[in-house]
Amino acid sequence: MDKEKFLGYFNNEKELIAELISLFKQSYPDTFEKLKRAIAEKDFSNLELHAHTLKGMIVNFFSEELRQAAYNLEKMGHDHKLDKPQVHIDILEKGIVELVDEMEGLL
Amino acid sequence: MNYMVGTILLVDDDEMNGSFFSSRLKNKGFKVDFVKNHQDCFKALLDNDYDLVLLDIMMPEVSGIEILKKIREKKNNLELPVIMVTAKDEALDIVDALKLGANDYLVKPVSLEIAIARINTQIYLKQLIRESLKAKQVNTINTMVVTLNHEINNPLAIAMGHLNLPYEKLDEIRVEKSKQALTRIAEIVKRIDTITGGDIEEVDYTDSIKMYKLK
Repeated sequence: MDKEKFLGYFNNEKELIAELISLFKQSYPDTFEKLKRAIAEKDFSNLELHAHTLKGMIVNFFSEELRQAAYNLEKMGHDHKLDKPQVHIDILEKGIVELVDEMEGLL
Repeated sequence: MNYMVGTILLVDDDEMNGSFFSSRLKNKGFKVDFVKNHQDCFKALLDNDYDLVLLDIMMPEVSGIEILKKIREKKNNLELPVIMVTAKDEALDIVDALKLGANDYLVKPVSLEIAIARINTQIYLKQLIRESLKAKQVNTINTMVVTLNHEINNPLAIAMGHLNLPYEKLDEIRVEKSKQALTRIAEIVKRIDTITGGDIEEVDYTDSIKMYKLK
């Protein structure tokens, strides 16, 4: 996560950042579960959609590694072709937990 | 340019980004309705008169592009500006959206400063066009008044010229000319009456602005 970029982007407004973190914590588990289910069921349309939604959430935090992982999954959904999705799921699973910790540390 | 009181419809299936963006815009003085799907979007558009729509491109069931197409069937980009909201890797979708009548676009993560600048630009342009249309209406009415006034004055001067003569100087020719002049005035008055009494057609030009034209 690019902390400097993140804080600069939100003008270091702690209240705003707290709201964003809270919304993210409420929203991402459901989207992430739907994403994993779509992979298990080879439901490409939902894979593309939920990976895209997750990517849209992640871009707020300027974490290029996580954004890229979500994008790779979105592309698999778009192309109807699974190519080691678990690698990207692992990156997201681990990375999001770290991201939340890191963000909460900013408050 | 300061149009910070605009009403905005925000359409995004993503609860997090939608709520966050909506709350930031509200903090800046905008009135924002946030909906998450096409059904709620179309209902909101029917029930309200928005200044602008912020529309996410990728949504389940019906995409932002499809919603945009439907909006443009009813309202053009001057009547209802639409700004697409998108991820940075959706360049092709943006091109499609702009071709279909989107006014502008924003890339996620949305910078509030850029968003407000673009929103204000669109609202400002919309207001300018509305004001320009109103000015054209007033000009048209003024021109009509001047023309009809002129058309009445000429025969009136003729009739008055003849009828102001001493009675013994009024011959049949003068009486006939006066009659013709008065008949002409009566015709013009009748035209005015028909214009004000139903021969003006009121047509929708933009939302809440009517254009008046002679049938």
